[in-house]
Amino acid sequence: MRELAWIVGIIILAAAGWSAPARGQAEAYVEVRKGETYRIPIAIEDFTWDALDPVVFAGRARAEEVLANDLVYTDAFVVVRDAPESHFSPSLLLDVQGNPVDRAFQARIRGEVGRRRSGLILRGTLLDEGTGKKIFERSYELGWDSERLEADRWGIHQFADAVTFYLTGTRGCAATRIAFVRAEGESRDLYLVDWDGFSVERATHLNTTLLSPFWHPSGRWLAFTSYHEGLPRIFSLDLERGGLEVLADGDTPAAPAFSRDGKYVAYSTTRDGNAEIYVARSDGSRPRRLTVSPAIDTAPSWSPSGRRLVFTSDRWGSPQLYVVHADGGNLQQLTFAGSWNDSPDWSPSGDRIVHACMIDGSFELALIHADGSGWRRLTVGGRCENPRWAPDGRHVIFARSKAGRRDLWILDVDSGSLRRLTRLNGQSYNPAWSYAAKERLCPPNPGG
Amino acid sequence: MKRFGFLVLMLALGALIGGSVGCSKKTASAPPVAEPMAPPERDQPVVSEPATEPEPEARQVELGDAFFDFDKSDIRPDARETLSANGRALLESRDVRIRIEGHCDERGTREYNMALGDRRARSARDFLVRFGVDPSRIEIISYGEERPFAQGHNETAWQLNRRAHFIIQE
Repeated sequence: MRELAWIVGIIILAAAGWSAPARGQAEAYVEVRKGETYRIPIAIEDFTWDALDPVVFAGRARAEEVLANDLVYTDAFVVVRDAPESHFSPSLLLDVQGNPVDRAFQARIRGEVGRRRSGLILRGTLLDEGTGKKIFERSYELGWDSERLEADRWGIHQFADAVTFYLTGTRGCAATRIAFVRAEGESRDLYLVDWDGFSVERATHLNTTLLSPFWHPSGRWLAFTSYHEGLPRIFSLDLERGGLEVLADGDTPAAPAFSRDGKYVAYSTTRDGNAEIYVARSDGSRPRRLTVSPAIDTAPSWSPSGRRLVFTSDRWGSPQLYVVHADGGNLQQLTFAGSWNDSPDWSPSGDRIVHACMIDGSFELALIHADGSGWRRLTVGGRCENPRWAPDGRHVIFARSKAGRRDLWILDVDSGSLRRLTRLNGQSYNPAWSYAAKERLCPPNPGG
Repeated sequence: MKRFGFLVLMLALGALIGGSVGCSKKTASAPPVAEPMAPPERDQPVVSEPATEPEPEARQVELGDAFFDFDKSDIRPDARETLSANGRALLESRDVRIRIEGHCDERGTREYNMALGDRRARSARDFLVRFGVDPSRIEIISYGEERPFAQGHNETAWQLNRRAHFIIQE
């Protein structure tokens, strides 16, 4: 019941667009404009199988189900399966979530699966429903697990991303990976999961205290802090070849963040006697100090242009968000209200910053514009931490604590829709969302 | 013939006496033959007799943990007493090296708590250094909120987890 109340609370808040005043006003919330929630109606026909019996995909799902899930998870589509092409009657149709469809389809998806020498191939087609014209047609390889006798979902994810891009102009994030820390007993390690909760893989076997993973934009490396050599160090895990390299060591290095062009890494270190932000080349070389303060400066996040960084500092008492230019100049305080604002992540489009803020003794998620204005609360009663943007700039993944355990959840900050990503044993937290990925990588020798 | 026999007897007696003297010299320079020892029983340590007066047992150094307020690294009055006692113990046992671990409760983000734990460990170290403890004997590390002492989600557990924890390294 509390679960339902929490979810309802989120939806109500997102729909109503609650907001707090920016800059020091005591009143908690004011209303802002409603978020964009329009969803494009789209139909998926049953796939055809070229001299093949239909195969199942991971999770014993049909191909059309995997695709429908991907499109529903974008929060950009109303999806109907196997719509009668020439006898469309909106009042009689329900979408895949059981909701009535009140608008005419705008597009239709067809899929044909065949066997080639290299394996299974999906030829996916997107059609304009009004004109019947082909918008695009592409082929995708479908991996095959000969032990489980099921196909891999990755090729479907790629098709879904192409549909999303062609119809919305926004890059989809179905074919991306999410890294996170999973704790079982005293053991902590990095894990990877697809955005639909499938293909969970263990990326390290370090069995130690480990935190703050961050993707290199190439998708090949993951930086994180680990204690497996005793003292904490920032390591870079090569997902293609396996193996670990030290990016920063000594004096509590933490919170690594690669710039969007992949050339630099920012992190905090206490080498000057207290936590300061440093910026180094992405291999850890040539570190230079960015902030100068006797306070704690940590949790840096780059703007998309790489010209600025947002970070947490308690230099004026309580932890608040600040912005600084990449050369260390033009420091500006972004948040003033509340006792604790932390864990910022700059959106891919550059206009918004999601962060965690303490309300009534518990952390919730909130959103501000890049200039600090337009504070908007995103969650209620959730004990939510470490929000990280999806590459689509619309969804945010975060860790939520409930009944003594932590799981990963994904929130659409525009519509307020929410879904739980992980239901694994132990605690799942500290998520990091990869950029667009060409393939699903996992280190051949986890942990190096 | 009798004379020859007497000479042989004297020579033999002289050789016997000379040999006897020579043997006595060798006996005096050789180490005393030790009596064979029974092998020690298995898994029992061989205890040698002390050559001098027995030394007093090594001093048992006990160091208490210092506790902090929420999001603070200031030394509280109760922590001041604990750290002073730790300082006295360390000044009396100058061969002891220690590690101070900085810990935080679960509130606050993991990244911030890494820095806060570091600040707490430094705060405790700085107190001891002002007390006169050689800083080269002290190593610090922050575990942030990653290794809590108490698992609860209330102030009782949180207070136990906001600490500088002392570990004797040698």
